[in-house]
Amino acid sequence: MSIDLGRRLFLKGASLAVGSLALPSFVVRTAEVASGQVIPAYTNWKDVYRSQWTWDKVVRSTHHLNCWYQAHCSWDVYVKDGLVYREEQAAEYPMVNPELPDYNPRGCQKGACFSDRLYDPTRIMHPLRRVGERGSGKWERVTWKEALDDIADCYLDVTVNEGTDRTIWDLGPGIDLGVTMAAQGRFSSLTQSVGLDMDGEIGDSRRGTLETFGKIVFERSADDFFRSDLILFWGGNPIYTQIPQAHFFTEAKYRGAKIISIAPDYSPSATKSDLWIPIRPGTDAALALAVCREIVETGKMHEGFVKEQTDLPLLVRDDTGMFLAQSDIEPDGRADHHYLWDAKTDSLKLAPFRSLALAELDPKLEVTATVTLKTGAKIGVRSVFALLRGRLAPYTPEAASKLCGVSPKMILRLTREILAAKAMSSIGQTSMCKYFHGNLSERSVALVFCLTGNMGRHGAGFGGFPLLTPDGGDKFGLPPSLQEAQQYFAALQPIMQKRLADGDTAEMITMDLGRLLFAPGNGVLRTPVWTSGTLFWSIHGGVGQLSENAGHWNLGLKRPIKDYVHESLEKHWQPLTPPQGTDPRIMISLVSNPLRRARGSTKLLEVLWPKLKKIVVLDWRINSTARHADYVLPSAPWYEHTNLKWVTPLSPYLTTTDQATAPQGESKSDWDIIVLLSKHIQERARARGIGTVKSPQGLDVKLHTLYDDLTMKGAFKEGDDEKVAKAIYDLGTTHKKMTWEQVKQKGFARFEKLPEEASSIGNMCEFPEHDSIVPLTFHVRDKVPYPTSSRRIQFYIDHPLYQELDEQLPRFKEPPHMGGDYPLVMTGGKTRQSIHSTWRDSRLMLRLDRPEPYMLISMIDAGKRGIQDGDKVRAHNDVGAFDVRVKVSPSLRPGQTLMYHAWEHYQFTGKGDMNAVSPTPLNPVELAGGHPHLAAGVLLGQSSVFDRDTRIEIERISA
Amino acid sequence: MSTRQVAMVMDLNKCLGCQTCTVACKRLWTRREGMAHMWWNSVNTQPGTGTPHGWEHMGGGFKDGEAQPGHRPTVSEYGKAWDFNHQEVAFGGKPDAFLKPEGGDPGKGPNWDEDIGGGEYPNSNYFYLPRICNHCTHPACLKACPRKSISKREEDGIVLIDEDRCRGYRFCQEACPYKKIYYNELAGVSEKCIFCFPRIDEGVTTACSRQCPGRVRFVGYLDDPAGPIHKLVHQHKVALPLHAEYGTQPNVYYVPPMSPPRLDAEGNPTDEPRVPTEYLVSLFGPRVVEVLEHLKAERARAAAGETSEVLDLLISRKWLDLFGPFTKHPRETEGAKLSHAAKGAPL
Amino acid sequence: MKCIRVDRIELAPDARIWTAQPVTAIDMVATPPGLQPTAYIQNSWADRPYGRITPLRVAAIHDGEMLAIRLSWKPVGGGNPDFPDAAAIALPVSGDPVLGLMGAPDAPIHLLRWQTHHDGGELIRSILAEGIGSTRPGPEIKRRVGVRRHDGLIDIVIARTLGQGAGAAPLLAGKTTKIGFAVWDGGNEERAGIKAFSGDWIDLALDA
Repeated sequence: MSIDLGRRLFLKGASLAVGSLALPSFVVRTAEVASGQVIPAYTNWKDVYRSQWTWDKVVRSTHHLNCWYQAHCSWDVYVKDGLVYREEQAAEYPMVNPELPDYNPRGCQKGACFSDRLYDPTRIMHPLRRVGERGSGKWERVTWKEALDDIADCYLDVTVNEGTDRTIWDLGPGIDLGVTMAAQGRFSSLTQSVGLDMDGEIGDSRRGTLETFGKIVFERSADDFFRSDLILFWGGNPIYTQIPQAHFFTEAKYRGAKIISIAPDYSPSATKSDLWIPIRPGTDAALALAVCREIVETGKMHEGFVKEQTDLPLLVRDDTGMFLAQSDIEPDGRADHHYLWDAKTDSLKLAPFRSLALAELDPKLEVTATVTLKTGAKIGVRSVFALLRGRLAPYTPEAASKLCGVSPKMILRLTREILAAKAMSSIGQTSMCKYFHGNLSERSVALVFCLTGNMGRHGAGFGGFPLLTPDGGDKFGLPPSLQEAQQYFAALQPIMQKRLADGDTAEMITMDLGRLLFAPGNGVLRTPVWTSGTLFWSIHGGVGQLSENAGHWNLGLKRPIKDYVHESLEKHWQPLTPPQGTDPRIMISLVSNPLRRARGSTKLLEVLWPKLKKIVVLDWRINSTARHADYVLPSAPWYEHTNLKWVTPLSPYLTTTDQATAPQGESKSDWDIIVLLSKHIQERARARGIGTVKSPQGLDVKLHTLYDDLTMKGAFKEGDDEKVAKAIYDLGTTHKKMTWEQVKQKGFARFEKLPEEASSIGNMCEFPEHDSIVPLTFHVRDKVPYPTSSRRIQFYIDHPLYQELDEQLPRFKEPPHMGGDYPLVMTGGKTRQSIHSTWRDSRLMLRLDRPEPYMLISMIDAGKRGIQDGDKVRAHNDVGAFDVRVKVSPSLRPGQTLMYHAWEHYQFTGKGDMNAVSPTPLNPVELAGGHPHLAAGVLLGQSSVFDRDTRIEIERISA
Repeated sequence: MSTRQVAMVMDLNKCLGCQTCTVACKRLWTRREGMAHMWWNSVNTQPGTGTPHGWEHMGGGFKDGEAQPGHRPTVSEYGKAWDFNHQEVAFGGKPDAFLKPEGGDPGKGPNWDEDIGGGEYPNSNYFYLPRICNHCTHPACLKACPRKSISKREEDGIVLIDEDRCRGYRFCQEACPYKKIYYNELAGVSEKCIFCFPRIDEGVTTACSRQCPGRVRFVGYLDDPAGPIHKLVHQHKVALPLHAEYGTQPNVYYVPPMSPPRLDAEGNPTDEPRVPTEYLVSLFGPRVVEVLEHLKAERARAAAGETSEVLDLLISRKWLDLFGPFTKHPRETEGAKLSHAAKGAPL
Repeated sequence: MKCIRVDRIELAPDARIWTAQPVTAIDMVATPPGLQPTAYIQNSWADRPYGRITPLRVAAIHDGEMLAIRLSWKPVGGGNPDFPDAAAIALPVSGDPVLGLMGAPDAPIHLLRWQTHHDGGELIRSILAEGIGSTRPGPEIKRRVGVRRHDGLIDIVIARTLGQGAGAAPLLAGKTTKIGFAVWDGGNEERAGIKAFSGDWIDLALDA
């Protein structure tokens, strides 16, 4: 389909056919319009251009996909002749205050051509059913009724005969925490079908941040970077991944800030730095710990911050390696109260509990002491600081240099720059956490920030994970109906009151409510069911089989990975629904694309697919996963329905989409599709005499009233997208200054306060209208405890798995050789040209890139192998192989290869794709649980994906 | 000579290489048939071959006032606009089909050497160079055209090809030393950046400048002392023309790129920028050295808490300040009205 | 040069009727460099040969309604695909135009110019010239073209309706008019004033 202006209009009037009478050469025929009225057409070339600058209407919109850091730009969508003609940033963000650059014109090239993508050749206009084998690429058009009845019957068969937990929702980057997820959430809650939490699986787990802060979600508004005087691009590549707000970085330089880039390759972001520090891939911990050692040993540590905000003063038992707890000392003592050594009184004191404020206390940092337990036994204790100092001792500049490849002088220079900074920030990034030992790197970098007190101030802070969502979604999605909402949530009141009375914070309680999703039948609240996406793929999907030889990969484990998995599931440390041995039967992929995305995804086709009786993909194009589906249901893209979605504090504005045109063909909004699915299930259940079944935990699942229940008895039914969006908006506490209608007109609305919900409460700060946003100020300024087991920024993890693997404290571990002992490290990153795979095969984006997948390699490695730019190579290791072109670059570090992500399966020639060599073994520390802050929760505390330490060799196969 | 001249300043220190400008232009202007290969706006990695590949070595322009012969770039130098077999892959019933460009040898696209640059690791170096038609004061294209199809607008110096007069002879392509003119084979005419004249005529800045998320582009009249162009070019003198030696007096100016220091053999930072100064001189002329020194000195002042007028200008906290008099919002123009009128609807 | 009256003209260059007609070999010359309208064109072609196609073999017939002129030549260029081979016949409209100057405002020239469109269609444009670089669309008169390429030769037949008025050059049976020719060697990137032409007008006597 093309909406380009017709070629006739622009052809010169020459007589193309022999003998025809030519028209005067620059007068084009008059056009007859539908009304029958003849009007003059463009009479000269200037009018042709002027006509391209006209439109019928403009609506406010955005792109409701997971752009994450760079999400949520306010766009104007220009509609002409019933189609979206083009888009342009609205660019109407007000100045926050005169000292700060404004947010305009927030957007990127992908957003600027979605109108092209919207109508591209793979757009699906009708429900499609597979003809022939799965993956055979043959489809037949079916009616919605045929498709939904068939899916409904299969769903009823599976649910009645095998259980409610056999239906899986693949919730990839398409989830919106808005109208789509309201439908999915209500469906899942009512049916107890299972949603996969993909945060870890997409590589966004930020494990080290969770370990340290008890949460991963906290990030400043992008304009606050303008207030930094040192910005670290440490991990990540914001020039690719934060296009809409990258100007704050470049503008900060003009305000006097320095940027230091630490990366193996001279990345696009390094080009914007004042100092680029090339580093060996995966060795960031060594560099960070050397900086920390230098800070500590030269006495430059910010003691005030460290004593108040971190666990460094807390005491650890020599005998058990656990924090010394009140319950160790006093008969009725609490296990969650810890001790420090007060310098003023030179005595053991309980650390502050309800507040971080030290009041009269002056904790000693370097502590080695003996204490008497309630049993009378005397044991040695040491402060975390004392332990840490010992841990840091080996990381001299010279020693660290050998580990990370950064010269000793450069390490000292970095330290000097850090110490000279009054406000140092680091960009949020999800690069380190894709290394097997990335948690250790993150903890080490966080330590640099904490030792220097660069947290929770304007322009200062370690970058967490940027998420911010209006908090009306749960209020709409969870209760049986809006009338019953109060009663539904009232069940929580006693629990919350008790915990508050016991000294827990609202943040801790809210995060724990999110954890209920991972415990179906939890006895507290009926909720949708979520489980770990990574574990699901690993165990049910067979990806775990790729790591059966992981013993040879230098992972540094004490036992086979299987053992750790077994222990974790046995002890219910990590969630897996359905449990191991219970096969999933139906997968509904909700604008997600796991076959493209999941590392080792070829295993899914081999192991998971045969278990599935029905694979249903909702999307607007045939992506890698849809190619192997049974049904593809045409989901209408964002411009075609009204919605709102989660955002990011980097741009603290809720952004809405207002329907620009009706859905093309027979496509429907996700809300409509899920509601209609429930309708067909209800109809088929009634027709087949099916009523209520029980979930494995004993909850009633009423199949014959599913549609009535999901729609709140028809109050929010198909076609009601906007009504739902409005309800979510109205139920939220974050936006009260404007009505829904006003927001829809304006397109965006600044957050007014911290959302009261699990996924974004971690920001823990105010959202002032006229100032930039600084996360964690409730902790740093107001002394509210952190949601960690020590209630402080925590560098010591006293969990048995961490003890077993010697990761109680940050340290450096040699990067493993995942996939075997091969000479090249395969690194990666998010591409500039696409958001995940959404634009990866866009004609327009490919024209501005290269037409086939390519791997960047260094000139040295290319030379050694006789490879030239553009050659095709086979990349291989013990796990798999794939064919790919190479791009040879002097910016790549010798020994490093780099593949930017999101190439679709079908863009690779030959069998494998870039995931084929990535076994992504589970890291045992991530299987921890049974611990206050290492338990799985919404978007955190679950297993991750590791592809960055993958080792490969490449061989030229053709020019 | 035009009475006034609109001009653009592009700050290369802010350019992200993201191509939003390129796409903005493409979606607005070069979307018709016959225009798929056109990138009136392009962004390339420098050092590199640019768009069209090797354009800096294709001649044209003037030497001592004398028109110089130039090469007319070939289809492969411009880069083909690939179409792909999406249909076959999605619906063709071929499980092994893979996505590939149709039409034989794909050649090299217009951004083929993105992020490659020059130097040797770890002293690799590159930066991004966005380009449009320079709307030159002495346009070589205008002078070359035998049909007088190219003109400079009296009121603002925008260089336009009269596509009704143009016969597609392409002497302009040869003569333009910046190689920013494309040929529409279907229409048989040459086409190029129109500096968004339908927008400019309504007081709206160009699509490439307004849509640039890096806030790279300043737009305004060269002679407007209150506007950003005059200040950057003439007052603070931090914006330089590209290849001024081509002799056409281009009206796009660049703030040259700063770069992190080169490393010595031990991996320690030196005092030398990693983008070779002589390379920058070859692009922006000898004054590039003093401009970079000036920016460095001003940054030091800013870091010390002093106010720097030129840096504040380059920051432009208020985004609309980038666009001189062209600050009208697109939505506020006659666009919708004209469309309705063209359809015969009552105004 | 004579234009012989026949029963019916034929557009096909290889039609039998053409074999019976006398052929005039016209010596073609390159347009003078000094007459190229821009310095760029003069400079860029100063050291480049052009206008080398010669002779142009011409035959002419008419059937009382249409005049048909058959042109035949051998291209010499290097095969660059950017520009098409092209040829034109020129007829004075009024006054006494100089062919080499492409006419003047008070002495326009009417051209029928053939080229192959990039999509394969054969184009024949009616053009009015009133000086170098001045061409504009000419009168909408009935015209046709036939094309044949063989053995490295291009043969075309350009036909137009006889008559006068509406800005077209007068072309009447039984009268003599002036005619000129131009050929562009596409493979040598010839276009605009870079071409071979007949130097001056040639008399064309139409049978009554």
